[in-house]
Amino acid sequence: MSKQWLTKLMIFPPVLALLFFLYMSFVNSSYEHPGRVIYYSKCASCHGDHGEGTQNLVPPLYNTVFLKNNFETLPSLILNGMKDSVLVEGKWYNQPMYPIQLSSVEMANLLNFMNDSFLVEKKVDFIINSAWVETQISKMSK
Amino acid sequence: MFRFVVVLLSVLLLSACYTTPEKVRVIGEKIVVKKSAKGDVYYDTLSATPPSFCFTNHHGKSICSDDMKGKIWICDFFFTHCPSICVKMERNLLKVNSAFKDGPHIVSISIDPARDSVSALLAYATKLGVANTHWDFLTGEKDSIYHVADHFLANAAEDPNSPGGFIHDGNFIVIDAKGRIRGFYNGVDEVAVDKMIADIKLLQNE
Repeated sequence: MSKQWLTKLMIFPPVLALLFFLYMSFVNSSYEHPGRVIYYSKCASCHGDHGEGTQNLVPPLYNTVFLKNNFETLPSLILNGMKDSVLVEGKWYNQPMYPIQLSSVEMANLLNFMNDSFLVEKKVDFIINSAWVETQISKMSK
Repeated sequence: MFRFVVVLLSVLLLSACYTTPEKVRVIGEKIVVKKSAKGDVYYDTLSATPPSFCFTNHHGKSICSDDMKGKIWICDFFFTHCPSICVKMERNLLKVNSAFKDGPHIVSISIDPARDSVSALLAYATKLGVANTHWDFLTGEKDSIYHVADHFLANAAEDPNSPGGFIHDGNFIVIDAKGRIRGFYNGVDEVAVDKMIADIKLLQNE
């Protein structure tokens, strides 16, 4: 009788461990957009954590008409940098932007992040891939 | 035994109330100088102070390091065409500026005086929205700027291979009311900038 009771009790530790493991994996699985990492490491220092820009020095990105209208040219714009003045939301900005080296995959991730997070009304309704990025770059270099 | 435990616990509790006052260290080697007063000769230990300078600010006014005597101020080196870390530094300085009501004087010295004329600096300060605050953007003779940068242990040099044509570390240097260097803080690191704000508050109460 007592032995049976003990074997029943033996089930509890593995079950508890399994439940604990499931719970921890659930808690730790906060999904992070792969493009967000790139945005924070390459863009946020000037354009702000939420794309708000820096005063009248660096233009904002969040939900700007500029971002929406120039979405296809963004890959080559980011790769080549910008020296010219740019009109964003009715204000002129002339701080230079240095060229940022990104692979096509990184660029695709970044654009997906901006499409998802910075545009209230999305520009593209598909997931951008590296092929799309390369097509846009070759279009601009022609 | 019970009494002993009670006494021990109360001592431990009371000792937790006492915290050693935080201090901000003085940076640089001490210099011993010979002084004489009323015929007595004595030796005094002085802290190293960075060299004095006079540069022109973004309003065309001459600003000297001697003007800052008695005030806590922050020094940083930048240039307006800087495409990389400067904007991040200025963002953090804006944060510092808003953290204090009557904040420490901020002195941003351009390491590219050839391009950063008074008008270029004024345009930059205006765009940053700080043209009329206690924040000076300075330009001057190139050699003396680099001399001052050397003494502030700031790494600044021309380098055609780096973005913008110059290399520099993004450090903020805090100088106290007596002209002594009290800290170097990485100007692109928000944690370091928060530490700087805390340290300046300590310095203000010195």
